[in-house]
Amino acid sequence: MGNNNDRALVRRVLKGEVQLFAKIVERYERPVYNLMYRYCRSEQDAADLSQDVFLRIYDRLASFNGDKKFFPWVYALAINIANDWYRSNSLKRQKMAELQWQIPDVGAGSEQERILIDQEVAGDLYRALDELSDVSREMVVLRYRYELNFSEIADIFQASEGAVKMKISRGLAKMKTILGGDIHE
Amino acid sequence: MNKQLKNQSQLEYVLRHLPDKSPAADLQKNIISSLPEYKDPWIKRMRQFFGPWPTIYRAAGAIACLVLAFYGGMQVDRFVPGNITVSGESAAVQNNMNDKAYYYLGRSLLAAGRAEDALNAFRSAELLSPNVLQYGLWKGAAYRTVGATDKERQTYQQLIIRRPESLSPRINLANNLLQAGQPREAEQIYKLILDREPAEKTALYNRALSLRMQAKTLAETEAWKKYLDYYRAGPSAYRALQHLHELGDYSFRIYQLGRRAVIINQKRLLSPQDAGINREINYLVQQFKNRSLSELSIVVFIEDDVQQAKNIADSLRMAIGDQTAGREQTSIHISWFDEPEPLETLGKRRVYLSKGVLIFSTLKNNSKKEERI
Repeated sequence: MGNNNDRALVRRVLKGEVQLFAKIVERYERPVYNLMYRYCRSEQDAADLSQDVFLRIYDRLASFNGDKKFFPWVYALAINIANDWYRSNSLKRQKMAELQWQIPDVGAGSEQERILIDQEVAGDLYRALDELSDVSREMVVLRYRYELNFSEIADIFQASEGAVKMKISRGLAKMKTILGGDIHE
Repeated sequence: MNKQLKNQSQLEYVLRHLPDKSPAADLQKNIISSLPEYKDPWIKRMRQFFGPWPTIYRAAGAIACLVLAFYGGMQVDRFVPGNITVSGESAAVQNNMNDKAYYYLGRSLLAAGRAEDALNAFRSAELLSPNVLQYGLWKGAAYRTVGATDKERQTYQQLIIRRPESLSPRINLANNLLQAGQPREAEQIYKLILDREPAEKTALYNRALSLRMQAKTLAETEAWKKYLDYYRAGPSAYRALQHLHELGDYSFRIYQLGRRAVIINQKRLLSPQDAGINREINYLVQQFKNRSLSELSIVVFIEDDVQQAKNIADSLRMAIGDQTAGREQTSIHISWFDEPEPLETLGKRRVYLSKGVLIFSTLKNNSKKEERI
């Protein structure tokens, strides 16, 4: 996600080339949608919340500080909306989070990704990520999936770099424990 | 544990390649079509508007704007129309498709977030081949996605009539009832499933959940133990263990053997007369064979009974030794105490067990590194 490109896009949208906002949506809809899905576990809710996020981004575009990276700014806005949703839906989310169904989730991802990481691993990984707190889970995803550095993650969560490092390291340790063990048959 | 996630660097690697979920194809279009006309921030617009005016007019204008903004805010609901829903594209379902084509179309529509259209596709697939179970199950899933839980339930009920031998629609029917706040009815169905298939993983897990929703703690405890009797791998086993500990039952515990976290039934290990002890020891031995452990340490705690603690430790060493005879040597060290065992639970609480067994290991290539939980 090229940062210079992002800055130029933002500048042009702010100067009136509003149609270029579609490029921003195109670039960030996937991470934003996935973030929302991790919070709400419903495709419909995730789509609605993603729409809210981009409306907010559009609304606040002028407040984006061009000296910083665009993606962490987007993510911070998205996290705020996800937290708002969580506060009003936490009961619904907790109640049925563990229920197991007989149909596997619809698979996603490119063909290369499928080759790289089979569905079983991905499923286990998602379930282990689910066991982390929302903040730790998102920090782990940002660090590894989106390759943000510690200071950028710290900015998003308004935490110190040390706290981010600690949460990520504890999160990984917990995931390793969760993913441990063999089938007992 | 999955072989691809054995150590930290592998875990980091797969996290880097974690597949994303694809957003619906029309999400971008919906976002763009819902954008309002872009305007500069109001402060900037005010500045531009009042810029060329003399100061006194600017101040008067600003006050007038504030009053109008306040009044306008109070009245805004009266003039702003309600939400306008964007209609989706009609389903691209062709009449000359066969059941499989409809099925795959339904799957892709569901993945793209178009559950209503997917529903039509699954219906068509089912009409053409009413005996294919998958079509009905996916139709149920599509109903669930659109929130039509009654129709979802009817779908599973019809499937049960058509395919009484199949367990999947029964499990999903029970899940549907559980979600609808009928845990008792759901539990009865899970129980019937388990009578037919005692190791049915989903039913074992969800039955425990249904008992939790009914606040039947004793039955819930037994249900989690039953699940762990069969399944000890992966996040569901970890969560089942966590629930068990929350209920104050520590018969199952997690031990770190080498780099692997293993769930063991410690109650069986502490009961030499228990019929299941050999199976448990066999499972324990399977976990550390070929794992380059140089030492296995076993510590037995029996409050106020040092002799019994010693006897159990001896018998465990002997039983493990018997099962590892002829294999690469792992030395087994035992110790015992007539005190309760302090244990930190998965929820980071400290508890004291009047009977407990602690097992930890040392890796062969790094004998100083001791790993334990």
